[in-house]
Amino acid sequence: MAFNGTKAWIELMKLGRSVGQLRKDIDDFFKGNILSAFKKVGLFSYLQIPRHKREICDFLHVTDEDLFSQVLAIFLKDKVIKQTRDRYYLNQKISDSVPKPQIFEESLVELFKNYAAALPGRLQGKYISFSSGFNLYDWDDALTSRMYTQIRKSAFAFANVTRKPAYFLDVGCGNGHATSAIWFEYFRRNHFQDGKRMKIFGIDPDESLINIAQGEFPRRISKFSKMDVDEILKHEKFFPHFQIGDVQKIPFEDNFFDVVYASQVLHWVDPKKALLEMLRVTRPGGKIFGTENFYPAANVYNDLHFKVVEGARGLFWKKELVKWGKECGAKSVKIVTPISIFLIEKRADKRFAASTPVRDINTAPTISEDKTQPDMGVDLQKANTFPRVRHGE
Amino acid sequence: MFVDVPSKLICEHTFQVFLDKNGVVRGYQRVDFQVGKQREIPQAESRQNLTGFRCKLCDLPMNFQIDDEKSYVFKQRMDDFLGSALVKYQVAHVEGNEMHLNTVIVDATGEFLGHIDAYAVPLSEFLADGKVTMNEPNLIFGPEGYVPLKTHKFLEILLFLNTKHARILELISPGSLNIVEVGRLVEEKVQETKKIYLNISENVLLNIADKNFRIWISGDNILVASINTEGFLAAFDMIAKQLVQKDFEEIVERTEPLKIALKFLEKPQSSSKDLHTFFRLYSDDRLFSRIRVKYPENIPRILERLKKEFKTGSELLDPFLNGQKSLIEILGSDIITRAWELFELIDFIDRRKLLS
Repeated sequence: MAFNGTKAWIELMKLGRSVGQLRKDIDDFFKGNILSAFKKVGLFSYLQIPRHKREICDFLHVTDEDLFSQVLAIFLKDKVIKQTRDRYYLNQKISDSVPKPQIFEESLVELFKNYAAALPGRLQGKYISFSSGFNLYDWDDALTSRMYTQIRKSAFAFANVTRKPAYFLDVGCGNGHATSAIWFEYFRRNHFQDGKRMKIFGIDPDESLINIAQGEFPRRISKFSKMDVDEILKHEKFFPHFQIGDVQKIPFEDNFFDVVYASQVLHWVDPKKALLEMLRVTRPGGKIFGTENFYPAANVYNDLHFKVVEGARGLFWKKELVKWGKECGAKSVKIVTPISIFLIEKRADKRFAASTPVRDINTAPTISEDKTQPDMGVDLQKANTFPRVRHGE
Repeated sequence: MFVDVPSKLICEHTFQVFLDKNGVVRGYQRVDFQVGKQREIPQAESRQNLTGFRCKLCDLPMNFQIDDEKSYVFKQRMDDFLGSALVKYQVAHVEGNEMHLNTVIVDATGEFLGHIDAYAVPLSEFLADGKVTMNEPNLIFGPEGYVPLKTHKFLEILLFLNTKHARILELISPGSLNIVEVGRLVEEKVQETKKIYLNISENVLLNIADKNFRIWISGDNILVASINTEGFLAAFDMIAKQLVQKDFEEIVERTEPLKIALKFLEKPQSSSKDLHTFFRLYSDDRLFSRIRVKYPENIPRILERLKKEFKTGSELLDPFLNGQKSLIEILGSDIITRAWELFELIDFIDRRKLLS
């Protein structure tokens, strides 16, 4: 496992800069984004004169005072503003330019700029959608970027899951770019064969992204493999099954998957609820792995970007993941690299075979009715023509 | 041909019914003068080159002249039989209030060899107040200015018929072909075949005017194709089965895209995507229309990405994304060879909800 940890580091270092420098560049960008957003609505001009918290709230038309207090605390701690008795005032000049991290593609920069710009509105109770407007295009573009590719490779190096065929779930699969790369890795290893327990599933709550994932899978594989699309279509029965689905209500049976993967997903949802669901659908002895930014290493300004999307709880602590995991049937929770890569192994103990603490009965399709044999009861034929279940239907 | 209808058969008048080559009544006329009570049916022996036989339904003598097309309803050359060229004729006469239609075989000299079939049709079906009751067959040329394809690598003739409205749409044909006649013969053959087979919806081979035709039938629609490369049949069969199910009016409206789709089938190698691409060419207007991107300020970024994704140059993408030209306007006939890639490009844009 230690060796796998090293391999995970090596993949991250291929990004070309020291991880420390990388982190600093990104942190500076997130801070600049948030300050710029509040500068645009006149907050820092307003704070040229010391103001009461109530006055600032009125100026910004704040309705979510808890979040506003968090923002204020961050600005104070970072010495952007100062406090004298019960009044706040600007402590430093706010730059007009926001430094762009070298590693971020333009699409990712634009996305985070949009999310940051939405924060003053969020304080007034206005959320934005994850992929509304041009954000859909930017997400689709960003998810194909080299940074996300290396993060994924790092996670796979650590989890070491592709040696054996598996029922593999990619939660928050987005546009399916990563799912396609994962599929190709298993394909390259010759795991897709009749009779083998091998199938990849991808879920995402965003219908537009799922449409992209589904519609462009053969072309993506053609790009990865340099194979002709016609040749790829011959393997259609092994293609991934993409469907709309929320990690907090995974539309699959208990213990259905051998491996569950979640990259940069947990901060967009209620992380504990999501973890419980991932454990529920993972078979005893199965693995859950992925990537996430955890406190204490995570950046508070980065966290604020996520708060504008409804349902997103933002970043959380590494120790919380360990605690929740152990409470809910994990044998071990390991975390490496500052990005960070996590790997959770579910206990093989049958007592944890079907823990369903947050499962909504309406979300579970039935593939195998035989719940006494969760590993063996799946009919491969059925799985290849898996029924689609959407939340709310 | 014309058929005399004696008085008291239908009404008190004697009149003549004019039939066209399909046995369809085109009209009638009153007889100005009548000699004797009833005109004798001429006997075969009394006229030269007359082929005589007896009606299979009423046993009355009938005759026709092989070199007088007015004396029979239609003729059709049949396959050689033991070295003899045989010809099929349909001949009609009126008996009582019915028209008897006999289909007979004669040899090259006009000698009667036997009956194929005979059936009676009530005259009342044809005559109502002296007007023609069947639809007038029309040759539909498609939209104004429409010109059918003159040549195709694999298809010599392609017609789309609608029997309910008696309409024919010419999709591929050499200019010399009498389309109306082919259409009529096809319809007639189909009617004959229907008497024998319960289901003739798929890929039936017919021989008409010395030419092999494949036909596909769905409801009132008949798709007629003369295929000059048999290897092409398997691929075209899948397309034809779907095409024949389309609404006739829709096909007429989409003749231009359909011509492009048909030309697409001429490409050197077939692939599993062809069926999908054919019907996209037929139905998807986005190749032929100018688009409007919802986020014009982001067109440079979209353009860069599309160039990477599809290895497509600015000369195509620039005017397309900026809504100055449609893909067909930019590429002309080259659109056919790049159809799959272009649909991928359009879908790429569409899935990302970039269009207004």
